[in-house]
Amino acid sequence: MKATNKIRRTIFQQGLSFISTIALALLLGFVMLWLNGSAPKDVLAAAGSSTFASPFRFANMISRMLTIVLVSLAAAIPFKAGVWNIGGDGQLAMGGFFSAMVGVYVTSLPPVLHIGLAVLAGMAGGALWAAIPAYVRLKFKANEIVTTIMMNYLAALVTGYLVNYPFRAPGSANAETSLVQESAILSQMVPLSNLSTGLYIVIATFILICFLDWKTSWGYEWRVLGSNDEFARYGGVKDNRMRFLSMLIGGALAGLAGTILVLGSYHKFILNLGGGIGFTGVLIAIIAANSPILILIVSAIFAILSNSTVGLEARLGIATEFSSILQSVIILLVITRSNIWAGITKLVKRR
Amino acid sequence: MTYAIETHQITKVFGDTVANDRIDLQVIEGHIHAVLGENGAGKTTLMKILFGEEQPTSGKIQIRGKTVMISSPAEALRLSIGFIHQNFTLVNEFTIGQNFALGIEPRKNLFFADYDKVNQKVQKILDLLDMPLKLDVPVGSFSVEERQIVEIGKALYRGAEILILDEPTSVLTPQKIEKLLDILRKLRDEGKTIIMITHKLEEAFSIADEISVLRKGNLVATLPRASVTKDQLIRLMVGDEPLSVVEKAPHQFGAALLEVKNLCVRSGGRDLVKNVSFEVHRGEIFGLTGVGGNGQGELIEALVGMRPATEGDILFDGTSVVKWDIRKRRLNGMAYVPENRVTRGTAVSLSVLDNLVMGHHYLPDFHQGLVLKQKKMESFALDIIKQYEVVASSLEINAGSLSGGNLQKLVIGREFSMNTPFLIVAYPSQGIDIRTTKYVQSELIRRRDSGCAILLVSGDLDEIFSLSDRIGVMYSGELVAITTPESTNRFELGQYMVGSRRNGQ
Repeated sequence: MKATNKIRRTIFQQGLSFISTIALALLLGFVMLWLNGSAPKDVLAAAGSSTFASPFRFANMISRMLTIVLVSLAAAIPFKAGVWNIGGDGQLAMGGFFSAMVGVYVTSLPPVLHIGLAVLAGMAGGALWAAIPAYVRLKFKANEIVTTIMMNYLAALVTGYLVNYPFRAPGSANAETSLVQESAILSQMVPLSNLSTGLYIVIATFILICFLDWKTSWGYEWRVLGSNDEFARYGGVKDNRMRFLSMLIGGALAGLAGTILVLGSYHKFILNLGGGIGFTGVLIAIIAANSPILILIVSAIFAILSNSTVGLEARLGIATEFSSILQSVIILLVITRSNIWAGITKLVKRR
Repeated sequence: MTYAIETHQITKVFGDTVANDRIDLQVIEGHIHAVLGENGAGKTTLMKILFGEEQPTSGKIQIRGKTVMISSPAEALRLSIGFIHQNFTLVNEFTIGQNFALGIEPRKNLFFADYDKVNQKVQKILDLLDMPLKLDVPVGSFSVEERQIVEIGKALYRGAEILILDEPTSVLTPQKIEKLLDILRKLRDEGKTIIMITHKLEEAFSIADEISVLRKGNLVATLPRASVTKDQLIRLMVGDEPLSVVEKAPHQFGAALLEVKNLCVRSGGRDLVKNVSFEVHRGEIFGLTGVGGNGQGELIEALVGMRPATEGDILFDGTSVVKWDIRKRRLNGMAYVPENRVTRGTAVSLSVLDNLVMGHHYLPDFHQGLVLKQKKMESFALDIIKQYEVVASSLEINAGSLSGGNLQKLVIGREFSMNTPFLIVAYPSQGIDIRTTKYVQSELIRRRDSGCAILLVSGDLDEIFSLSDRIGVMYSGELVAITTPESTNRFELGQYMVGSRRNGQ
């Protein structure tokens, strides 16, 4: 009992320092805008309204958050096991494409089966795209940071070719597939918004990942591998197998992100489906120290931030790049937060 | 008599543990002061406080009579206190001069570091230390003992007058220890004050002017060396509880459990293990010794499956295991206490619990499919902690926060509690205190008597002699001798170890 209390306390303390650091970053953002001549009150109103003014805006934020959570986990699970998965973008694209193929060309299935099949295909596509660099790493010791990034370009080019030529929607002016069958569509949850019933899939996946992380031997072995791989090997952890597995799961999660964009938001595969969200996932995994719960919190903040840029630009003429600046500030502060808080405590003690 | 350092009622509390309890330490200027104590007695914590790495919970510190606040290692250096860590803090790719001047390089032409100036000063220090080392090669190319002395030189370069050394001899061979002690004596004669943390009685006895003994966070005595006997010190260190003596029943061979046949390990074009054959029987402790780096490490790695055997065979209970992976060998009854507990034996950034369940977590008792049985693991871990007297305030603290001896007890507890018929135990008493050593040794004997086959690897001849039923000596990858404690002696083993003699010659 005592032990669990202690864990609770440290989690609480960590969470507190984490959240207050992010609050500090947001405060700095306000100061920046204020120096730039925008009254904090207006900024808050403009930023808040882009997310909270109407149900569909809020739903859009949640939809955005779902993608971010998935790609963050896609990076975090391999990170835990000491493998760098920077290939979230490519895995997302392949996953999206695979699910679109099933969605468009498989016909006359009942919705549950069709969606299930498309989701499986999407996850398999992402996992496949992650398996290649993972295999090359294990077999030839090729640095996975390089290969996963490379696979991102490859995925962009391959899907680009596929939707420009063989699978282009007939008569379409854009590089995109046809619309998926009605039976494969994840239905809209809030009118006018991007938010689909994919929400339930993501919630279930998130719980499953937490469970894997906290309660199973996989999570345990990843944790040990990531913190001392020699110790893991010595203890009988099948190191290569576990690394490979972490990449497969990472890839499947990114693939699922692509799948939900396809089946829930666009109803077709479009070029540049993720728009570079994979790198955001990598950053968030680092900021959140691979903890699923913190990933959830940071993803929400990032989703709100990226949503507010539209409002800030429309109402106050603040460039959309401001959101990138603010994200960078958050990253810097969170990564250095232990030093910052140590410094602040020292100052307080001196006085 | 002036005191270089005086502490007044220094207390340090970590969570529920009192690491230092109202300590009044007085170190006379220009003397060598040994701080003796078992693992976890609070030696390192006290020294970290003096070096500004830890802040005391209460109490005050005086340097030459002036009360000071040592808020950081940088502050300690300003107060001319230098700390020589157990683990080296040198940048291996840098030369001595680059290491010494790191961050405080003198400048020339406004911008460039003036290493000529640095090297002049370095040369003076090396002369003082009587160490003719090359100034233009990276320190990574030096031997362990040379780097140790370079560490001392670094402290001197940075103006240290008071040197604190944490277990400085733990990585050195006996001859090199003598050399290091000579250097310390010389520095004392130059007027430096030296505090040496150690658990080696002999060293403290041979070098110190005063000896302080810490036990369970308390300073039990500070005595001048001249007026104290070894027996007295032992009693102060371990307290008044009687020590168990290692006693052995006569040797009774069972069947051979491990048979190694013509084993060869080759790597990077080098023959690391050459044609080694031996058996370990049930009920036997086979002691493997040799000067470090003569293939013992690679042999063990081949046995447990961490390194492929190039040629030859390993039979375990009659079955060849060379194709088995590490887990399969473990599941079939091999447990292994590794030589290096920090890099191999534990993951120091993970919790005590995570470290204790390693290798057990795939045993049927601890999982149901993929799901680990958390409660069972916790109670199992608490049992080990209790049985092996691991001092840890909870299962959730990082293993890295345990003292070296406690970490070793954790590793030993984890491996012993596998209850395997075969144990590989490498350097079990390295860096642990007398009482724990005795405990580990009696545990090994108990295992042997209950029919376990044990391969003990150690460089400590006393340990090898007192525990082994048979002794093997490795030299340059070969097993050059197999003998028994009754039929050999220290001198003969020494000859085997340096390669001037082989069995039957």
